[in-house]
Amino acid sequence: MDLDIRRGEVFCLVGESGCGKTSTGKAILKLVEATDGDILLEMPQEDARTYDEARTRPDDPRSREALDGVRRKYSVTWKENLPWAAGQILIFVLAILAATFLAIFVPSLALGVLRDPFASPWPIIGFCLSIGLILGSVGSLPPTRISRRTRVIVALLTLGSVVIAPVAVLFIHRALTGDTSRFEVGAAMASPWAEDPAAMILGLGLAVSAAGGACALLLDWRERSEGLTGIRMRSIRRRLQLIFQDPYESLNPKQSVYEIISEPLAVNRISRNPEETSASVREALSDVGLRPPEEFIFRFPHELSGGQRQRVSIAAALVLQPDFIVADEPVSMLDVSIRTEILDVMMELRSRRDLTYLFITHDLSLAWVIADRIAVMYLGKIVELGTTEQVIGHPMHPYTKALISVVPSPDPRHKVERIILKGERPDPVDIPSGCRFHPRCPLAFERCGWAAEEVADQLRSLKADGLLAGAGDFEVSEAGTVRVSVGSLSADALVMELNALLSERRDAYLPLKGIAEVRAANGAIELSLHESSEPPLLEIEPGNFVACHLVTQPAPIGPSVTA
Amino acid sequence: MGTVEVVKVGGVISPFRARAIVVGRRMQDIGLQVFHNKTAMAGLIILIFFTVLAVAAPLIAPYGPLSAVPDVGPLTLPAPGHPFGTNQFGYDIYSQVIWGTQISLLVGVLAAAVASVIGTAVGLVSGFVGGWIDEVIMRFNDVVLSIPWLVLMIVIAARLNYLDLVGIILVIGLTGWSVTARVVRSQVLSLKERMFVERGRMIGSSNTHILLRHIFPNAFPLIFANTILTVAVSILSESVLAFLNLSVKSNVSWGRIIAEAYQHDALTIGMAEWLIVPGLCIVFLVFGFYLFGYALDEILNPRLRRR
Repeated sequence: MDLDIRRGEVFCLVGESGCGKTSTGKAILKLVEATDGDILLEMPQEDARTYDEARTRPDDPRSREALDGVRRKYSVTWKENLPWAAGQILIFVLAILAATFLAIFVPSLALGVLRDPFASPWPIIGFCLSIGLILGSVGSLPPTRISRRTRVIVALLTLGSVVIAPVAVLFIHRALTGDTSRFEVGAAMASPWAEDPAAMILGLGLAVSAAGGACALLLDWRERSEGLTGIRMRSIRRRLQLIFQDPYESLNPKQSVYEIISEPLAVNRISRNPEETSASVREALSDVGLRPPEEFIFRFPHELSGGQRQRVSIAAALVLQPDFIVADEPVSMLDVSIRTEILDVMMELRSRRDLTYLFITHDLSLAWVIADRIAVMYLGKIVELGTTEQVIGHPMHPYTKALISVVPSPDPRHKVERIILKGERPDPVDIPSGCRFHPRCPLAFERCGWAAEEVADQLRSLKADGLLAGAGDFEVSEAGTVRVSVGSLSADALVMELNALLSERRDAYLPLKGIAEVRAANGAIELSLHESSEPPLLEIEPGNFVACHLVTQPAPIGPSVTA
Repeated sequence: MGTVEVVKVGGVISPFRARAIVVGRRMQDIGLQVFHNKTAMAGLIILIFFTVLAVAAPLIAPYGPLSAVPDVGPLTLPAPGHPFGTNQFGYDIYSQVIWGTQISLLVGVLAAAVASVIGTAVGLVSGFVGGWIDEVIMRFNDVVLSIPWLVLMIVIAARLNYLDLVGIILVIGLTGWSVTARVVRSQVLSLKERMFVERGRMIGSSNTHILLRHIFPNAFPLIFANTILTVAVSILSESVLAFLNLSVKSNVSWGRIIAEAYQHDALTIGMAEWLIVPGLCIVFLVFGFYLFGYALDEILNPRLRRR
């Protein structure tokens, strides 16, 4: 599926439960891993055009290059797949050598320390190196977890390792030998410098390069293994937020409202001091209409009503000042009387903060009220996409029509013929061939993708009703045709009966439309089926896309039943 | 719930203050529920009684735990100065029982704390990280569970010769964490699928943050109630170890008193109190912890019980 959501709009994703709306929303936010495809953020128009163009020619190496360029810039799912450069390989080999060196020499160094701490310079150099390695790995942690201040401290500690190392060596020596006499820290630190300044400078150099090397290596490794997840995703996260469907489940029952709302600020290190945090929390609370904030700030979720909880949920998403919000059925769990209030709050915030919403809902009437554009989804595919006016005013796809027809109307005189869809929603693991909506579509015709199994089922049930009494068994052959074995009637008579049935009843029993030809063959009858394909999502009018054979094909083709 | 007044706070709120207010409100809430729960109160009264006894032992006990009663020989029958008689060294058994409260409580609480800390850490990591780490930890845990803990304790204690107080606490604590680990792990497995964990991810929290701020606080009531019950088990274990002469002679605990009484045929020489009183003390203290623990579990984890 393909969605482009423009900045500042309310985009509605409509569909039945279980059709993949929520998964789509979560994949956009990278809460679930998308199996394939790209999620591109904040892509300007011209890059979007390049991207679309390049995607039509996937085999061209130049377009692949262009695609990778766009993905590297904007995709949240992008993983760098570049070969290692010579410099990186060198660093890697050096790191392995250093680790081997440490593993071999550290025990003997420790023994040396035990006997006489300053007899040789190696213990101190080894210590400097280890401190550098440890600090380097600390320094490579993701930026949101470690503030700039921590990084400065790490850098200073690396430089200070030449000071720390002699003291540490001396401490270990004293601890191991059980020496408890007093000693001068200054003298202890100064003595290695006086005895062997060259070793100390070598130690300093090794510590700094170990720290830098470890840091660079680990950062590189993180980027390779996690893609953008580890490094950039956290900063992107901030700008994308989700409003959860269930306000009862999505708030931690052990946290107060204050903690729920201030947590994003603390986690992302946005506010610098408690004053700022308190102010942001209060502002967010009054923004979503929980006034006065003091009244709510120390309540637990269980002390709030459903509507208030959802407001807290919205406040917690808004406090990060996001640009894009995925609202996953934010009002479906709420009382009808509260829905309007929550929607009002959301829409008001949109105009005030210039938010973009992806609104996921199963309620078409709700989409009609709030959406700028609507996409109707069926079993993981978009079947119709367009502005609200286009989708609701002139629905093209039979599924959209059916959805619109069942929206209750407040005016009892205004009667619409309701289109009730037959059957159950198919199992998403076993998606129907051709158009995935055809088994339930009231307008399905020949090319919609009837499978042999469906046709055979229909014929069996017709036989059970006594319509095809002369036929034997119905079998699905491997070539995708239906074989009818001969029962009480002869093959020719059965062909006649089948043809008659097809011409009379094909509008009542839609699967029969899938039969292209009835042919007698070696004592049985072969029913071959129409060719079918999945309807592509085509632009019918500017900005209005529909995936249906009925729309792309001018009219249903006439009966083509031949004996 | 809901009996606690909503707090209104103005001005600047530091994270510490926010946490303190939340914890305070929760404690107040739980305190009220404990107060209205008869089982919990019965258990609590027993526990308070023994705690007071332990803390005030120097004031209540007429003699030290290891000091002979003057002018009285060993193995004297109960008499006004020494209501339960004296033991084989002429020490006052009444005083010993009172001093024994200290050891039993101390060992019980600290060993349970050790077991809970280890079990919680293992359970949290195992449940939250999952994958092969979980598999390895849980198989190891199965091994620990399938070793008879009493035999293991006896072997460890015998290997180290006589155990001092710290040794006893460590031996009991280190052998008793596997059940806690399992309980915590199962709770973590269910908690990590909850929606608020997903929200934590959404706002950019690290795994450590989610584990410590979202999962641990929600598992804590269960851990706490479980720890109280572990205390009872630890007290029993301590008595068993002391009865089997595996702890230092200077640790006068109820188990040791019973062991000495048993070795000197207290019943046949007419000193039934020597055997029965410390026994009853163990029973009551353990009973108190069980009462309080189960009631607390009911209060803290209402949904778990009802299921």
